Amino acid sequence: MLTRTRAALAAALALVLCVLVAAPASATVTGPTSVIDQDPSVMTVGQALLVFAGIPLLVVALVWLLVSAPGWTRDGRPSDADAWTGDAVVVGGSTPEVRAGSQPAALDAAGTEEAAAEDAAETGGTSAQW
Amino acid sequence: MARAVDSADAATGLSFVVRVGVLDGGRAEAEALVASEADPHGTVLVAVDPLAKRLEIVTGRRAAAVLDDRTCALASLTMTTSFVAGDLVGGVCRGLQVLTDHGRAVVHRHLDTL
Repeated sequence: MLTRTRAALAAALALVLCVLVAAPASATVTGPTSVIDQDPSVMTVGQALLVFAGIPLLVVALVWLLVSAPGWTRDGRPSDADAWTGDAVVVGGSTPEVRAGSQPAALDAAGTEEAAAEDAAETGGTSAQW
Repeated sequence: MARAVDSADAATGLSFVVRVGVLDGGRAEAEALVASEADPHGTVLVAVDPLAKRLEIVTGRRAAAVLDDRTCALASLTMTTSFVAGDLVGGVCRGLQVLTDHGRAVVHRHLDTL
C-alpha cells in the first residue's frame, strides 16, 4: 500500500515537473520582437561573417594572447646562466685552492696526472647537458 | 645554496661541494677537483658550467656506495630541468635535495635503543 502511494506520488511529481518545463513552449507568439517573426533577410552577409567568423576568431586571438603573453616577458628576462661572468663559485668543500679559482688544483696537488687518474677511476657520478 | 649544501652534509655524512663556473677540462677536471679535496672518497662534487650548459656530478668511492650513478642521473635530470628554465640556483638546490634524500643515513631506531 505504501509502495503504491510512493509510486503515485513520484508519478504526479514527474508529471508536474514535465508540465512546468514544457509550459513555455505553448506560449503564443504575437509580439513583433519575437524571434520566430523576424525577417531572415535582416542580417546581411557582412553581419553574418562578423558574428559567425569574427567573434570566434576574436575569442581564439584572445586565448592565444593570454597563453603567449607570459612567455614574451619571460624571454626578455635574463636567466641565471646568461648573467654568468665566468668566475667560479664554490660552495662547500675543504680545499682552499678549489674555492679560489676555476683551474684544476688536483693535478698539482696529486703530483702527477697519473695519480689524479687513479683517483678518478674510483669515482662515480654522471654527466649531463641542457 | 650554502644552506642546501650544509643540510646535505649533515643528513648524509658526506662532503658536498657545489662549483658553478667554467669547467674547461670537463669530466676530468671535475674528478681532479674531487681528488684535491681533504676527503676525496666521501666527497660529492656538483659542477655546473653555465656557459657550456654542462653538468658534472662526481662521487668519491665512499660516496658512490651511498649515491649510485642512477641516483646521480636522477638528480642531474632534476637540475637540468630547472636549468633549462633559467633557474640555476633553484636547480642546484633541488638536485641536492634529491641526492640528500637518497643518501640519507638510515636510522635503525630499534637498534639505537639497545
